[in-house]
Amino acid sequence: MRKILLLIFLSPILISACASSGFNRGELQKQINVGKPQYDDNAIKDAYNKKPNLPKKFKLAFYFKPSNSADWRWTEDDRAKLDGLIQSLKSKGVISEAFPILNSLVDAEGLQNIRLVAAKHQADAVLIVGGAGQLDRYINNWGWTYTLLLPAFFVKGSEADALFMTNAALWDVKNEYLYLTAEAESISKQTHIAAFGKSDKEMLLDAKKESLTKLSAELQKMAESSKL
Amino acid sequence: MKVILTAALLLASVSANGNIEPVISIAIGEGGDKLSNSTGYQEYGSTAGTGFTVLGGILLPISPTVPHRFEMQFNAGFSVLHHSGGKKGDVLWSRFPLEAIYYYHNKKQNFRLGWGAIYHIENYISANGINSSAETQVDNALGFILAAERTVPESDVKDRPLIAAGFRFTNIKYKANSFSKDADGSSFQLIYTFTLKD
Repeated sequence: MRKILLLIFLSPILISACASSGFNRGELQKQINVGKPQYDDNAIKDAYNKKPNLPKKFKLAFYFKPSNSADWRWTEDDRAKLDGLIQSLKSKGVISEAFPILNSLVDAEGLQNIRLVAAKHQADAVLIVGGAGQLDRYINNWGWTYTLLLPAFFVKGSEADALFMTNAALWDVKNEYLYLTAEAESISKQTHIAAFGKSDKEMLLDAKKESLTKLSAELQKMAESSKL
Repeated sequence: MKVILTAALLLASVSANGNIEPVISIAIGEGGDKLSNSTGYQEYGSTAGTGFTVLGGILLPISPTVPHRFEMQFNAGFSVLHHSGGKKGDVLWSRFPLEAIYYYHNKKQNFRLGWGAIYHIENYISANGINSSAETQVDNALGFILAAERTVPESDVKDRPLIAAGFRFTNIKYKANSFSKDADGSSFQLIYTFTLKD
C-alpha cells in the first residue's frame, strides 16, 4: 500500500520527466530585427522604386547591434570573424575600406539612426549584424535520480541546449536599398552533472562563435553571387 | 567529514550554477505533546510543536532545469509560543530552528515538494508564577521535515522572485534532564516563503 502511495506521489515527476521546453525562435527574431516592418502599400511602392547606388570600390561601415541580454556581449573576437569577408571584398576590388560604427555614436536603435551615423563616416553602405541567444535547460531520463540529492553531484542527468541566431543585412546609406541579407544559427549542446556544467554565458558564447562563423561564410556566398 | 564533503559539493554547485537567493519564510505550526506533561503537569497548555516561526535563509539551485528544478534551501530562524496564564504566570517556549531542505520544484505545474533535516537549538521554556517550575533548558533536537508548497506562477518577468505557500510536517522529539518523559514536537505548519531578488 505504501509503495502504491509513493508511486502516486511521484507520478507527476515521473510522467513528465524529461521534456525539453524548446526554443522560442519568434522571440529571438524580434530581438535581432533592426526595426518593426511597416506593412503599407506606399512603403512597398517606395521600396520597389529604390535603385542600387553603390560606386565602384565603395566604403563599407559595419555595425553590431548591441545585445539586450546580460548573458552575452559582442567582443573583438566576434568583429574579427568578419575579417575574412572584408579581406575578400577588398581583394576583389568591391570595397575600398571597411570600418566599424561604435555603439556609443548611435543614439537610438533604428535603421535611419544607423544610416545617419554611417553617413557621417562617409560610408556608402552599412552592414548591420544582429544576434540573439536562448538557453534551454532540462533533465534527461537520469534526472529523476536528483530527488535523492546525492546523484545530483555525479549523475549526468542534465541537458543544456544553447541556440544563437545571427543575421546581417547590407543597406545603402543614401537610399536604404537592401543589397543582401544572410542568416545563420547554431545550437551547442551539453549533457552534464546537475551541480556542475557550463554556465549560461559559456553555453551562449560557444553557440555565438559558431553562428558567427556560419554567418560570415553565408555572407561571403551572398556577396559573390550578388552584383555589388 | 560527510558534512564537510557535502558542503564542499554544494559550494562547487553554486560556483557552477550561481544565483544564490536570499529567502524569508513565515510559518504557524500546531501539534505535539503537551509540554506540561514533561515538565511536571503545571497549568499551561502549550504543545511542543506549536508556535510562530520566522526563518531567513538562502535558496541554492542544484539543477536549474526547466520545468523540473532541484534546489536546496538552508534556513535559520526563531520559533516561539507564548502562553498567557494571567495571575498563574506566563510560559514562553522558544527555540532556534536550523533547517536544510531539498526541493523538487516544478515550474510548469507550480509546486514544490521537499524533504530534509531540522535541528532545534537553544530550546528553552521560561515560566513565572505558579508555572515557574516548568522553566528549563531543553536539549538540542534533530528531526526531519517534509514540505509541499504551491508556487505563484511565473509571469512574463524573467527570474521573478519565488513566492510559495503550503504545508510542512516536522517530526522531532525534545529531551531534557528535567523532563519526566520526552516531548514529541511533531507538528503541521502552514508556511509562506518568498525570495528577495533585485
